[in-house]
Amino acid sequence: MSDKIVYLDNNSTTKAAPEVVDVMKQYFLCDYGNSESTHAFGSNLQYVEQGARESLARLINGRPKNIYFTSGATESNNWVLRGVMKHSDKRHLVISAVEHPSVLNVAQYLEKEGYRVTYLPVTDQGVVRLEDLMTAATDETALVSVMYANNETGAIMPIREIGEYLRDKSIIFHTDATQAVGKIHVDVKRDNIDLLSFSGHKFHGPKGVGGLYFPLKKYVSGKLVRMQIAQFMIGGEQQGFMRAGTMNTPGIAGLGKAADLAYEHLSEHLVAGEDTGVSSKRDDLQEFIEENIPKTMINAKNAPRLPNTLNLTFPGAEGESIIDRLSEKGICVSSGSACTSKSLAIPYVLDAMGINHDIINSTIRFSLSRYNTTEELKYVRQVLPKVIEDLRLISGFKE
Amino acid sequence: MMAWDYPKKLIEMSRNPQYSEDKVGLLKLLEDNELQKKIEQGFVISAKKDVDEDKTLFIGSYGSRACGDYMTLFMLVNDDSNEVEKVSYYNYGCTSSIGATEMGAELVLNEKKFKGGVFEEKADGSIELKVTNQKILSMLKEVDEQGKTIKSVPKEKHHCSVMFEQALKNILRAYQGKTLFKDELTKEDWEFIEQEEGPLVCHCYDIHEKTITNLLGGIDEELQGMMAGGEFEKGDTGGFNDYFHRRIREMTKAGEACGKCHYDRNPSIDDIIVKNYPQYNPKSKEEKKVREYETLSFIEKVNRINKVLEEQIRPKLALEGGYVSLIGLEEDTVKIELGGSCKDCAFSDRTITFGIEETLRTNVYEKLKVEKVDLF
Repeated sequence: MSDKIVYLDNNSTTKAAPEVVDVMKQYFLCDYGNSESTHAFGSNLQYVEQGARESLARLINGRPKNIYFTSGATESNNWVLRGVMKHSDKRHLVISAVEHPSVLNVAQYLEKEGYRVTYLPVTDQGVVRLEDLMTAATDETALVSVMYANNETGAIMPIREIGEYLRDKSIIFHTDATQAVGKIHVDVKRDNIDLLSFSGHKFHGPKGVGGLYFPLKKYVSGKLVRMQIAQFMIGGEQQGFMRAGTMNTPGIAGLGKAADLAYEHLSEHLVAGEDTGVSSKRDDLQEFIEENIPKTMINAKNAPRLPNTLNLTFPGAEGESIIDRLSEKGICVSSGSACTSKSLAIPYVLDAMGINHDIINSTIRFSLSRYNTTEELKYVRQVLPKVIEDLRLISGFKE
Repeated sequence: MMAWDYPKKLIEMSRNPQYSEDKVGLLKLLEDNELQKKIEQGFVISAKKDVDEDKTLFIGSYGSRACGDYMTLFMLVNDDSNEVEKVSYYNYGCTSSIGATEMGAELVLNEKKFKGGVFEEKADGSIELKVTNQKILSMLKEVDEQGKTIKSVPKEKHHCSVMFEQALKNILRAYQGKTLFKDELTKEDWEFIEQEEGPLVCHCYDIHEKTITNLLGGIDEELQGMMAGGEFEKGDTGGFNDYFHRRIREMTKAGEACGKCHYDRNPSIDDIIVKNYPQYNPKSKEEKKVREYETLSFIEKVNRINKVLEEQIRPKLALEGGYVSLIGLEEDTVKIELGGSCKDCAFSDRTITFGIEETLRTNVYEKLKVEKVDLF
C-alpha cells in the first residue's frame, strides 16, 4: 500500500470534517449528559439537538420540528417502508429497481410477508420515468419510494415531477436522499416530498447518525391528513415517542455542524443548481479519461448527475483487478463487479440499465468530495491509464 | 461490496504478472491470421499449431466474459525434448483469477516435461493432470514458519483455479488431436464433449458432470476436516448435502445464475452428489422436501399448495359439486374455504379437511395444518 491515500470513494463514506469532530468532542467530554434527564446539565442539551434540527431543516428547506434523528438512512428506510405498510389498509408499494439495498431488500422482505411490490425500471441512463410511475401507482398503492440520486451512477431521479404527480394524493411519497443531501440542492417543499431519509457520514458528518424528515401530516384532496407510520424503534419516550433510544447528542451536534458546512459550501459554489466546486474536478477527470483511455464508457452520462460521481466502464479490464491495482497506488475507488461481492452476483444497478454482460464487470465508480484537491486528481491521471492498459494487455482486449 | 482477504503471494503474483506478456511473441510465431483472429474473438476452445520445425503451440481456453472470468492459455512445447518452453495467457478476471493463472503457469514451467510432467498418459489412453486446481490453491496459501496455514484463497474464489485446470484440459485435448472452435461446434464435437465431460449440468456457465465429479473428493476432505474441528455434527446429512451444493457453486459458479441445475436438471448437481456420496444424502426424500419447502418464499409456498389443490383436490370435489378456495397461509396453517355442496355438508369439517391436509402433507410439507374458515 502506498503512503499517499487519494480517497475517491465518497459515495461510500466521507471523512468527517475537522470542524464536525471539534464540535462532537465537547459533548463526549464536557457536556456529556442525557438530554432526556430532568436536571439542567442534561436537559439543556435539548437546545443543541434543536440547533441541529434547524441546520438540517435549512439544508433541505423543511421545518425543524419534522426532523427525527436515527442511526442513519438504513434505519430511516426500514422505518418508512415497514412502518407505512404496517399501518396502511393498502397492500401495494412502488420502488425503483435501482434502490439501495436498505430499500430493495426491505421491499423483498415485505413481498414475502404478502405485500405487493412494483419495481420501476430505469432507462439506459439509469433514471426512472414518470410515465412508468403513473401506471404503477394506483388507488391500491400506499407508498412510493424512489431514491433522490443513485449511489452507483449518480443519476438524479425526476423527484420533482414525481412529487408534483403524487401531491394531494393519498399515496405517501418517500425518497432516500442519502446521496443527494449535502451534494445538491434538495428542497422538500419545492419537490413535494413527504418523507426523506439521509445519513450524516455521506456529507462529512459522523457515521452512525442520520435522520428522517417526517412531517406527520400531508394534504390529501385539499385536507390535512395524518400519515400513519408505525414506530420502528420501540423503547423510551425520546423524540415524541416516535423513535426510542438515548439521544446521540455528540453525533447529532456533529451532524448539525456538517449540515451547516454543506449549506455554506453549496451556497458558495452553486451555479445553475450544480456544485461547481466539485463538478469542475469531476468533469476534468472525465474529459481526460475520454481523451486518453480509449473505449471508455461513461454511464449515466446524459442523465442529470450528482456533481461528484463518475461511473465508468473500461471494457477488457475487470473491475476488481482495477481496484486492486489502484489501491496498491493508494487510490480508493469502488466497483460493482461481480467479483467484489460476496455473492458474486452481477451489479444490479448496471444490469437494470441494460449494460451488456460482457462488460458489466469492468465498471468502476469514482466519487469525489469537496476535500479532493487538483493535485490528487492529477495523480489519478498519472496512474489510471497505465493500470487499464496493463489489464487490457493481460486480457487481450483489442481496441 | 467487500474486500477479499487474499494471501500475500496471490496479490504479489497478480500485481506483477511474469507470464502474460509472452503471448505477444507466441502469437507472432503463429503466422496464421485466421487462427489469431479466432483467438482474439475468444472462439478457440482447443487448438494446436506447428510453429517451427520442432515446436508446437497449444491453445486452450475456458470461461466467459459475462461471468467476469475468461482465459486462454498458450503453451509452447519442444517436440524433440518434450519440454514446455513457454507458457502465457489472456485473462479477463479479478485479482485472484490473474494470480491463480500466474501460479498455474509457474507450476507448468516447474514441471519442465510436457508429457510425463504436466500430465501422465495412462495405459488406457486416459490423461492425468499433474497441475490441478488443488495444487494451485495449496501453493498460493500463506504459511507461517512452522508450515501452518495462516491464510488461504477465499472459498468463493476457488473457481479461478478451477478455470486454469479447465483451460489446461483443453490444451491436452488439442494435444490428443482435437480442435474445437466455439463458433463452429459440430454435432460430433458436442458428442465428443459430452463423452469426455459427461452430460451438461449447468447450462448458464457450461459446466459438465465430470467437472463436478472431480471436485467432490476435495470437498469431502474439507468436510472431514470441518467435522474433526467440530464445525459439523456427525449425522447431519442434510447439512453435508447443503455444503456440497454450496461449494460446487463457489468452485464452478454452477447454479449461480438460474439455479435450476441444483435439483431440476437431469442429471442435477444433487444427483451427482448422491451418486458419488450416498452417505451424504439426506435420510429420505421427505427430509429433502422439508428442507426445500422451508427455504421457499411465501409466494412460492402458496403456489405450491395451490398447485396440489388444483391438480389433486379440486377435480375430486367438483364431482360432488363442491369447491375449495385457498384463503391464506399463516406459518404452517393453510386456511381454506369450502363452497358449493361442501359448504353445508355435515362431514365437511372432518372428512374433507382431513383429506386435504393428508394430501398437502404428503405432497408439499409434512407439518402443514389445514383450517377451515367461514367468510360469510
